[in-house]
Amino acid sequence: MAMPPARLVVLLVQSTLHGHFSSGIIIFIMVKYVLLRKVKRMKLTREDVLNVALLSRLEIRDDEIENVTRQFNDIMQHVDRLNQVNTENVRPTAHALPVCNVLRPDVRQTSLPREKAMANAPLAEDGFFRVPKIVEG
Amino acid sequence: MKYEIVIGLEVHAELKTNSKIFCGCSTHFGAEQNTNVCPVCLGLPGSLPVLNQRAVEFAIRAGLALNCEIAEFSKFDRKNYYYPDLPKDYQISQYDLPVCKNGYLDIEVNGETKRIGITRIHLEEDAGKLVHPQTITTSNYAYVDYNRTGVPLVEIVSEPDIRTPEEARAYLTKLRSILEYCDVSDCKMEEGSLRCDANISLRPAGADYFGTKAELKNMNSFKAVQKGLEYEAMRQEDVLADGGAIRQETRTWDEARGVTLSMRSKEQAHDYRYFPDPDLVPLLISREQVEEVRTSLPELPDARKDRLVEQDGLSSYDAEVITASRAVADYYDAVKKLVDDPKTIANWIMGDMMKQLNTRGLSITASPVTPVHLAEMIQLLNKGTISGKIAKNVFEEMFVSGKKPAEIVKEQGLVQISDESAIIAIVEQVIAANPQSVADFRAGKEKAIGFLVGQVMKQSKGRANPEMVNKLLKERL
Ligand SMILES: [Zn+2]
Repeated sequence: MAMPPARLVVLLVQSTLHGHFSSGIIIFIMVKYVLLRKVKRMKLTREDVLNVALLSRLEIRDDEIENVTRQFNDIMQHVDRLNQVNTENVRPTAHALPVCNVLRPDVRQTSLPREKAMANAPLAEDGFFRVPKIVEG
Repeated sequence: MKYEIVIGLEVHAELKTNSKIFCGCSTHFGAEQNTNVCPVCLGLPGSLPVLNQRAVEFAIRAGLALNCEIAEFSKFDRKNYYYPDLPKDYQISQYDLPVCKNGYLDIEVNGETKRIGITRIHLEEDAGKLVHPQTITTSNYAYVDYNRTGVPLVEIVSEPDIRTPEEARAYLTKLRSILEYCDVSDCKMEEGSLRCDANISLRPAGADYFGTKAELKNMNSFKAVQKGLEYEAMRQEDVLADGGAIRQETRTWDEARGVTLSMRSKEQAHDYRYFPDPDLVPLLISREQVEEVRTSLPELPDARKDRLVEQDGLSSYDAEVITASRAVADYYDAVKKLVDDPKTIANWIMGDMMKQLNTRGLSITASPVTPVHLAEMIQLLNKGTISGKIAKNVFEEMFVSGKKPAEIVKEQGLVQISDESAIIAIVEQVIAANPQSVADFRAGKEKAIGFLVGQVMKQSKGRANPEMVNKLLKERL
C-alpha cells in the first residue's frame, strides 16, 4: 500500500500552502479531489471543475472556467507521470517530515477572552456566533 | 417474503480528559458559551494542533477493553465538509489508520450470548453546538457555541452483526458499561457525551448480500435507538413489500411523532475528501505502552459478572444488573465486605435502592444510604431484630434522614416481636374478632389465613415475627 509519490507531492504542496489562500489552492483542491476519487485519467471537464468548486465553496467566474480546466488537466498530466514511478518497495508516507509522536500532557491552559475570540465574527449575539439559517436540502 | 434486519452502530463517546484533544482549552460541560475556545480550536490562521497524550491513552484503553488490535502506526486525517458547527471547515479525524481495529463485545439477549464485532475505533475532535432561537422555523439565523469544538471523541464502529433493535440496545448498554468501567467517558446521553447513529437495512432472510441501508440519526436515548430502529425496519419492510426500493439516505428519528424522516441533503456534501493532516505528525504506539495500559485496566463487566455468579452464587440475571454499572458493582462489593449475604444485598440494591435513586434522580455514589448502613441493616434483619417489612421502612427512613439503621429502629421502637406469649395474645384477639375468616379457613379456603396473618401484622404495627405468626395461627385454627 505504498503511497504514490503524487500523494507526497500533494502533501508538500499542502504544507506550503497551508494558511494561505492563493489561487493555487484551487488547483490543489482539484488534484486532491481527483486523486482521492481515483478518477481514471480521462480529460477533466467543465463539470468536474464546477463540482470541485462547489465542494470547496469557491466561486469561479464563467470566463475563468476554461482556463482553470486547462490548468487542471496540465497538473493531472504531471501527476500521471509521477504515478508511473515504481513504488513497490517504498513505505507509505504519512507525513513529509520524519517526525513522530509530538504530544502534549493533558493540562488545561487559559482560553481566549470571549471578546477576543469573537472579535472578527461578522455576526454575534449574546456571546454566540450568529450564522444564517441552516437549510437542509 | 421474510426479511432479516441488518444493523451496524456508530457510537461517539467523549473522552473525559481535562483539556481538548489538540489544545489546552477546558472540556468542562456547561461553561458559558464560547469561553472555552482558543486559536487552535477556533481554527484561526497560524495555529497548530498538538495531540493530547491522555486522549491517546484513553483510546487505547477503550480498544483493549473492547478486544481490539492496537495500531503500531496511526495518523490523523482531515474530513472536509461545511457546517457552521465546524470552524475550520474540516474535522480532524482518522481515515485509514485508526488507533484500534478488529475488536468485539459480547451481548446477552433472551438468555443467549452473541458476539458483535467492532470494526474500528478512531480518535477525532468533536464539533461545536448549534443553538436555535425558539422559533426555528421562522428564524433566519442560528447561534453557535464552539466550547465543545475539539473535545476528544472516540468513534466506535460496529460490524453489521446486529440483527434486531433489541440487540442494538443490548450492544449499547454493554458498550456504555465497558467505557464507564475503564473510566474513559462519562457516557451521558443527555449531555451528549455518548451519541449513537445506526445503519439499518433489510435483506431476504438467509441472503448473503446486504440491502440498501439508511443511516438513522438523532436518537437521544437507548430506548429511542430501539424504537427508531423498530420503526425504520417496519418502514423498509413496507416499502420492499410494495415492490419499492430503499433509498440510501440519512433519516432522522422524530421522537415526538415516533417516525423517521428523510433528511434531504445535497449528494455532494458527502464527499469528505479525506487527506492526511499535515499539521499533525504520525503516532507510533509502542507495544510496551500497550502492555502498560493493559495492566492498568480494571476488572471489566463480563469478568465481574462471572465472579458474582461463581463466587457469590448470584443468578446470572442479578449479576448482570449489579455489574451493568461500575458504581453499583462497587457499592455491592463494599456491602459484601461487611456482611457476607450476596443474595440479600443484591435484592436490596436492585429493589429499594434503585427505586429510591430513580425517584430522586440520584446515582448510587450520591446515595444517603452508605454501604455501611445497608450492611448494618441487613445484619439487623438476619439477627431477627427487625422483620423484612420493617426493614423496608427503615431503609426508606435511612434514605431520607441518612441516619444509622440501629438508631432508627431504637427511636421508632421497631424491634421485631419474637416473644411467643406476646404474639399469642394478638393471634387470639384476631381469631376472636374474625369468625368468618376462621370458618372459611376451616372449610378448606387456604387463602383465608393470609387475611388473618395480615390482621396480626397490622395490630403489631408490622413488628411481629411473620414466621411465628404463621406457625402460631395454624396451631390455633
Ligand atoms: Zn482551544
